[in-house]
This record gives sequence, structure tokens and C-alpha cells, in this order.
Amino acid sequence: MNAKTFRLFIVLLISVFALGAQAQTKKEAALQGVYLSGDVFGYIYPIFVKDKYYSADLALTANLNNRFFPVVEAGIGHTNMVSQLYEIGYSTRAPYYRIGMDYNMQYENGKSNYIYLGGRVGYTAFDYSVNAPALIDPIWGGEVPVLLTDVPSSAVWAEVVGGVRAEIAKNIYLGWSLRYKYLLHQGAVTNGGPWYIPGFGTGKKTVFGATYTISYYFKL
Amino acid sequence: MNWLRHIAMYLVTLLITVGAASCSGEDCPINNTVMGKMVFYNQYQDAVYFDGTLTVSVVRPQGDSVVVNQKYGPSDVLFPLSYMHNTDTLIFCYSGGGGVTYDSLYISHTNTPTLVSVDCGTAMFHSITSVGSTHHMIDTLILKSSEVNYDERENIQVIYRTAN
Repeated sequence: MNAKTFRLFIVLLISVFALGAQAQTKKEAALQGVYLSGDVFGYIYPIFVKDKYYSADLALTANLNNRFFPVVEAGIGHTNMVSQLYEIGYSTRAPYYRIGMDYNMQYENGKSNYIYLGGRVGYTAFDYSVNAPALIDPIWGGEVPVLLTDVPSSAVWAEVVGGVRAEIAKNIYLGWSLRYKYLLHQGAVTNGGPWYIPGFGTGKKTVFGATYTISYYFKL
Repeated sequence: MNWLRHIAMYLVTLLITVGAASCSGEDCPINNTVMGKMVFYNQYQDAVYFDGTLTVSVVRPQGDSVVVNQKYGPSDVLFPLSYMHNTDTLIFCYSGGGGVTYDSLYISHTNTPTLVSVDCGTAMFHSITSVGSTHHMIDTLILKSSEVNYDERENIQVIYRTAN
């Protein structure tokens, strides 16, 4: 994602919050309920790909007049894998957090099933370790070990979110979302920086993500 | 049975989502050794080429090693840096109408073992701290960009006394 796309994201995020603020000003916003959600995609996805990193998170989503959905997400991401081709070991385990809001694109229908757009800001602080085969100098000769232990790092990123949520039984919902993530800030980058960032993924700057959630709705 | 239909629909969307998320592949660098780049200029900062052949050797304890072999009409060269030493010496051997001339170039640098990714491997990146040379044909060396990594860029400007 380039700077132009990121500006678009910021405009979108500001628009969503501005709409929310406007609704509150008009006394329209009312807390109708709260969704408690669990994301299971982070354990399904590794089944289909060679890079085995996992994540799971819980989310609390408030339903404001079935139109605005402020959300707080907290989860844990971890991996302890050795790549097949280069035999590089990489391990980390750390919590991550996101805060943001969704906007119901079909709020006028008044239905509990809806399509939404939204945004998130995510943060994690983590340590990672790398254990790779030694680098062999092809000209001068000699070997240099590649062993990084508990390297501290952190990251802040933004997400553009689009998804659906539908009721499959009374107060039980399934939903999925696609997320476009943009790394806003990364802590001290040494030796190439981390490969996998909990909650963000494996992209250097941008990455696609997804969630697949099961929710219980506490109607108020 | 309405809920069964919902679940079936969401299982399909799950598979589509996994497929979409799996499509993001990673482009790995072709080479696993990074190279620095020198570009040749005259004293007026015009890009020039050497009208003859250039051979570049690196000085090693076990004997010199040729890294550029009789390149004709070069306007730039790529050069390696050692993984374990902090100063390297390169020998430029010019061969042309005026006979054979030599220059020695001294490059000081730091070395950083770097994780590119678990799928692309590791590489040694370098940061050049200073450069110097003899002055048979070379007037001066200018350190333009210190970082030597996969982003191939002009690291050193070689300013020649005379230009063809």
C-alpha cells in the first residue's frame, strides 16, 4: 500500500468516526447490545499453507443503533517453525491488540445480518528468535553464525476491514472479514527485522488478512 | 434447517477467504550474495567508461581472487565485500592502449547477518564506513550510499583523473 492508499484509509476511518459522532450528537446512538466474538481463522489458515504461524483473538463489539460498531480486539500470535527450504528456525509468542469501528452498510434495513466496512489500529510488542544455518562467505571463506535470541520489537499498523455477519441461530452469529493491513511503525529493526509480527502477519509493509468469527450477541 | 444452509454458505466463504489469503506469494532475490556498485565519472562529474578492459581482484590471505574478469568498456562494476573482515582491498587492473595500470581500493565496512525471510533465506548485508584508493588513474572515491543490500544502488563514485 502506498501513501495514497494509506491516505484513503485515514479518510475512511475519519469518515466512519465522524458519522458516529454525528449520530451521537443527534441522540440517535443507543447501545442495543454487545457481541462477544472469537476468531478461529488464525488456526484454520495454517492448515492450507506451508508457513505455520497461528493467531486467535477475542473481540467485544458494541452495537450502536445497529449502525456503528466500536470494537476492541485482543489476541495472541505465535509460531515456532523451521522453514523447509532454508532450515531457518523462527519463534515468537506475544499478545496483540486492535481498536476500531465498523459501519453497517445496510443499517436502514434494520436486519441483524449485515455487511460492514471499518478500520482498525493494531499494536503488539514482542520478542523473536532466529536460528539459521551459518552464512558461508563464497569468496573470502569462513562462516558467520546467524543466531538471534529474544530480539525485542514492536509494531503499530492500520487495517481496512470489510466483512459480513449473519445470525445462524438465536443470538449466535457467524462472520468473516477481509483485512488490508499497513505497517505504520516498527520498533528497532536489526538484522533484517522480524519475519512474523503477531496480529499483523508476515508482510514487510502491507499484507492481506482475514478473520472468521463466531459470536454470541448479548441483547440489551 | 435454515441454519444448516447458513453454515454451508459460510463454509464456502471460508474456503474462498483462505484461497484469497493464500495467494500472496513472496518474491525472493535471485542471488543470495549482495554486491556493492561503483560507477565511473570524470573530474567534471560526467559518467564515463574505460576504453579498454578492467579486471578486478580482491586481496585475500589465501591469495587474490578475480571477481571481474577483463570487462571491456566498463562504466560501472559490482563488487563483493567480505563477511568477516572490516576492511577489504580491491585491485583494479586497467589494460588498454597505454599498457597496464593498477589501482588499489580500500573499503571499510561493517557486516550484518540479515534474515530476508524464512522462505527466502539469510544474507550478509554491509554498511560502508569509508573508502580510499591509490591515485594512478583514480583521482578520488566518493561514498555515495553506504548500505549494501538487495536494493542495488550506486554506492561509490570513482572519479578518474582522465576520461575517455
